[in-house]
Amino acid sequence: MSVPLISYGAICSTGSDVPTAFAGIANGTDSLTPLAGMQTGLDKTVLCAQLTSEANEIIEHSPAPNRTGALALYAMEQALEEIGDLGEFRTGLVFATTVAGMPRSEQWYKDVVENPTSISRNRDALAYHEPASLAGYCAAQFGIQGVHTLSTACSTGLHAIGLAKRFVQRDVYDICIAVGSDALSVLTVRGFAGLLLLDPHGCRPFDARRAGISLGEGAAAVVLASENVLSSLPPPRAHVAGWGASADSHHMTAPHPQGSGANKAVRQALSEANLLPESIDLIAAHGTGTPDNDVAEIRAMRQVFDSLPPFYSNKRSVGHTLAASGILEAVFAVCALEGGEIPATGGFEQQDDSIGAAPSSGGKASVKHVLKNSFGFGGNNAALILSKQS
Amino acid sequence: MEPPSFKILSTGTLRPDKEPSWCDQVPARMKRRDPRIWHMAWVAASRALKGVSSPPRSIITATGLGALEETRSFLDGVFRSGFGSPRNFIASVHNSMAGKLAIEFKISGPNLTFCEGANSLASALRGCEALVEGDFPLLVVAVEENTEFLRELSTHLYPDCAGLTDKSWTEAAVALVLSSEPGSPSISAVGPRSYHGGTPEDCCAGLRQSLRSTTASYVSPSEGTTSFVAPALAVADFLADRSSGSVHIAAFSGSSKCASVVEVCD
Amino acid sequence: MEQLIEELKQKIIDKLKLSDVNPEDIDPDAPLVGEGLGLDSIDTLELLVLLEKDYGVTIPDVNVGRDVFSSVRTLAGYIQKNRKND
Repeated sequence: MSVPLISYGAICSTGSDVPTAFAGIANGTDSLTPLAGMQTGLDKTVLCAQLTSEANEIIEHSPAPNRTGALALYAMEQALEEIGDLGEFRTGLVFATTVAGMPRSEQWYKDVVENPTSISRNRDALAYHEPASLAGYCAAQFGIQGVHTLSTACSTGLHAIGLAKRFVQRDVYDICIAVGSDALSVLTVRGFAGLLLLDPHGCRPFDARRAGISLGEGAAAVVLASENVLSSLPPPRAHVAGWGASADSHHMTAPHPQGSGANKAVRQALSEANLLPESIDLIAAHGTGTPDNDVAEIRAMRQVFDSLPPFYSNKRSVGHTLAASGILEAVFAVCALEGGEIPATGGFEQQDDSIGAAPSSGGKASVKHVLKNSFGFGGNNAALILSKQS
Repeated sequence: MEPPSFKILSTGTLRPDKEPSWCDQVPARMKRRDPRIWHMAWVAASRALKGVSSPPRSIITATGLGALEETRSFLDGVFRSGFGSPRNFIASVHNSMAGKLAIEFKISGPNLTFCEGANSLASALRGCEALVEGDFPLLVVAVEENTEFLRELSTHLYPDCAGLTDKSWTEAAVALVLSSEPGSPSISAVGPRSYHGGTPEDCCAGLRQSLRSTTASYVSPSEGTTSFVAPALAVADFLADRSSGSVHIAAFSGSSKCASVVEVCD
Repeated sequence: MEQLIEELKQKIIDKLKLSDVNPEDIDPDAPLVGEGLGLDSIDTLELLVLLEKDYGVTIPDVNVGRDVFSSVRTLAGYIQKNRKND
C-alpha cells in the first residue's frame, strides 16, 4: 500500500528551496569548496558542500538552539507551509540526525581541554546535544504530538520516511513528517579523515579514480498523509510505495562486497510496492564515491535488475549529508518524478571497468517509479520506492 | 486506539553493579577492540538469545547516550594529541552497536536505533509497530553506560543536572526477544509524545488512557535521578517478579520535553 | 629495511595491544588483515598515528592505504620511501 507524499522542504549547498536545489543537482553542479569556518586541525584542504553565504545568513539568524536544529526547522517550515494548520490532525515527527548538537558540544569540550582551570557552568552549551532534544524542539514549534528519533548514520533518512509511511498506513497518525538534518562538525570531518574515507579531490561517484566521500551540510523534510485526510490537503506530489531495511552483518564500515544486504532491502521495497524490478525507471543511488560502496551498490543492483536502469548520484553537488541524505535525495527523486527528468552525476568522468556502467549524464525521460538507496555504517541498508501515482 | 502488543519470548539483563565479574563473559576478540557499552549489550543479548528456539531476524537498539566515553576519547585525541582513534569514531555513531550485534549474531533484517533519552525503550517498541511479520522475532536491546565522563560533566553543569551525573545513575543492558503475535507476557508502548506547554505527569496520565490495562500498577520515575535505562530495568524486574498482573512504566525527558509509557502484561 | 620491519612489528603489537603475539610470530609478507594476526582494516587505520608521529609519513587516500597496509613489508617500504628524516 502506498502513502501520499504531500509536500517537501530542503536546504543544502545547491539551494535553500527545493526547485533551486534540484536544478543544481540535475545539472551535476560541483558545489564543493574548501571547508570554511571550522578549525578541524587537519593540515590539508577538505572539500565540503556548504551553504551559500545567503543561505548561511538565514540559518545563523534562526531561533533554533544549534545549526542542525536550524537546518531542520527551516526544512520543516518549507514543507509544512503548504499544509497550513495542523490542529485537527493526529501528527507525528520522525527525526533523523547523526551529529545533532555536536558542532556546539565539541567546541565546548575543546574549551574545556584548552582551559582546564576555568570551569564553565554554561548548561546551554549541552542542552541540545542529544538527537531527541532537537526532535522535541522541532515538534514543539509546530504542535506536533508524536516524536520518534532515529539515528542509524547514513541510512537514517530513508528509514525515517519508511517509518513515517508505516505509521500513516497503520493509522497511528493522519500526518507524519520525516525530517533529516546534519550540520558539519569537527567530529565527522576528523572521523571520516581518520578512516581515509575523504577524497582529497572531492567525491567522484562511480568514477574509476574515485577515492572517497565529501561531506555536506543540509536538511530536508517530507510530509506524508493518510488517504482519509487528503481532501483537506493539497494534491500529493508523489507516493511512497515501498520501504526495505536490512543489515549486511559483515563489517563495521565497509559494505558487503557482493551487496547481499542491499539486495535484500531493495527486494523488500519492491515487494511492498507490488512492483517488478522492470517497473523501476531510475535509481537515485547512494553513490558516495568510496571505492567499496559504488562497486558493491551496482553489484547489488545487478542482482535485482536483469537490465540496469539509469542511475545517478547527487553527492558531488550536495555532498554526503549523512542522516539528512536519505530525505534530501528522496526529495530530489520526487522532483525527478514530477519533472520527468533524470539528474546528471557531478564528479563522474571515467567509467570503472569493475562497475561496468556509467551513471546518468542527465536528460528528460518518463519517470514513474524511482528507487532510492542509502547504505550506512554498520552495514545498515535502506531502500525506498517513490512513485508518481499510487 | 490501543497500540499493538508483542509477546516477550525471552529476556536477558545485565547490571554491572550487581555482577562485578561480568566482563569475564565477554569473548576475547571483543575485549581488545570494542567499547564497554557494546560488551554490555552483547552479554544481555546473548542471555536473551539462549531462551529462544528461532533466532531473531531484526534488531532495534535503544540508547540515550550511546558510547559517550568513546566519543569523548575521540575528541580528546583530536584536540590534545592531533589524532582521533578510528575505533572511537565508529563507536561514537549511535547505531554502530546495533551493527556489531548484527555481525555477532548474524541478524540480517531491519536494524534500527532510537535515541530518546529516558523514552528510548518506548521509542524502540513504537519502532516495532512499523515492522512487518516477517521481521520477527525481533531483538530489542536497551543500554546505557555510567562513565567517568558523566561525573566530570557534573563539574561543568548546573546543580539541577547533578542527577544525570550521579555515581548512582544506573547503568544496565536489557535485551528482549519479541514475537509479532500477542501472547503472555506482552509489552507495548505509547509515546514519545510532546508535553510542550504542559507537564510530563499530565502527559503520562493521558497516554495511559490508550493502554489496554486499567488495573496496572504504576512506575513513575522522577527525572534527574533516574537513569535512561530505568524503564527497561523496570520491565526486567516486573518479568522476574510477576506478582502483579500488569504495570505501566512512565518516563519523560526534560531535554526533549516528551513522555512515554510502556505497558507490560502478564 | 629489516631493522625497520622488526621495529614495526613491535610497534604494531604495542599499539594494537596484541598481548599474546610475539614479533617472531609475525610473517612480514603475510597479509596484515584477515587470518593469521586476525586484524581487521580498522586496526590498520589505528596505525596511521604511528606513521605520522614516528616517521612523518601520511597516506593520502584509501586506495593508497590498501596497498600500504597489505603486509609489514609493504608498510616498511612505504615508510622508507616517504619518511622525513629528522
